[in-house]
Amino acid sequence: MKSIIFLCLLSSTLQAQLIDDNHYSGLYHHPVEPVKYQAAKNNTNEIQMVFSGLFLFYKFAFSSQDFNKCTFHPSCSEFGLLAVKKHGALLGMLATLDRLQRCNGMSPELYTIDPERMLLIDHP
Amino acid sequence: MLRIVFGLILSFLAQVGLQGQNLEETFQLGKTNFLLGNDQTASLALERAIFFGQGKYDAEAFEMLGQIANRASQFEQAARYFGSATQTAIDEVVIGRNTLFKASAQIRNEDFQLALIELLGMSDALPDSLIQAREFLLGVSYFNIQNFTDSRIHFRQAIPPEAKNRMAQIDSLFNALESIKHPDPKKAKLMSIFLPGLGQFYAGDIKNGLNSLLLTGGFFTIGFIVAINYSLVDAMVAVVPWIQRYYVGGYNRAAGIAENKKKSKQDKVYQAILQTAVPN
Repeated sequence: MKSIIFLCLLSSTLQAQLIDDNHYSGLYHHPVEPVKYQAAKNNTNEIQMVFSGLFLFYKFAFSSQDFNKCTFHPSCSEFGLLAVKKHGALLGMLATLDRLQRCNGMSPELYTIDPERMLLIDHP
Repeated sequence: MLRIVFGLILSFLAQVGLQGQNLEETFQLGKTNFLLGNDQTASLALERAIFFGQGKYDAEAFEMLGQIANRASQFEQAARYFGSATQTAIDEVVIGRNTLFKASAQIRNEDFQLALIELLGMSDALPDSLIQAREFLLGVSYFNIQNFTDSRIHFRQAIPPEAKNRMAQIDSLFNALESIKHPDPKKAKLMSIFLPGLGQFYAGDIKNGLNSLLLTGGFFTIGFIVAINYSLVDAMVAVVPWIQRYYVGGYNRAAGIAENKKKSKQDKVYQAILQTAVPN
């Protein structure tokens, strides 16, 4: 008897879940949300602010018109900004030049792959 | 001495009839916790019942595990559990219901083609409520792969034949959908191939259009200056890769913007179709 009551309850709950159109309402269109770049936040000095500004200008004016074919995560521009923040302007720029030379995807065995993005992980 | 004490304790426990939880009780514990929403406890008990139950509890337990995964928005996992439920169930109705749940989880995971395979392979000898749910899910799946012709057929079949008003509403909504032609992604792409930024203007994204026009125009200007002051070969080597990069990126982006705008318009109709076609 208990089992029959349970099955009735289960069946009605599951049926309601199955045909609830709210589950499918968000599927068709995915509105494009504005990208927020974490790397450009939390600047602690003027140099970082200048580089963050350059980074945001590049992202807005150039990168937005580009193909979306990054090899690495973070991308070269984000790497550059993070490197400047971490090592200072001079060493950061050198690290960025080094990264730009490595940005060809020809040695994937040297890096860990980010399974979500399917990109090679290379932090400064 | 220690042996005697342990012997006495064990004898006492045997006398008072102390015993562990049997498998039926474990399964019932899983069911109760599932209904109460204690998903973690329910999962542990149900998995134990499946492991030790030698197939006795599989279909019911897999169905509940699928629902638990659904509640946690783990749709891929949920589809796997419902798939196991269909393979272990004997009753045609239970198999049909679990196939619908599997397809539903696949749709929520945006695996529309997989959902279609499941739904189209279902038996027709099922109660009307399940057939209507199947037609509704087929309508959703076809709509999301932009096959609007088949989507209309299945959404209509999800509605009982006597509900003629709802049928007419579905027809008028699909007619409205067919009239949404602007902005056309192909046209936007061609326009941006002809003049960078033009496709974006056509799609209504002025900011992006100006960006594309200025960027590509700027590189063309640099290439022209280099060609005049140095040579055509220098201009080709130094500037053409940049022009190619932003020119191609620009017209692909124009198509993407137009596609998004068009989908936004279609999305409003889709919401109305869902409201109309959902089985009662």
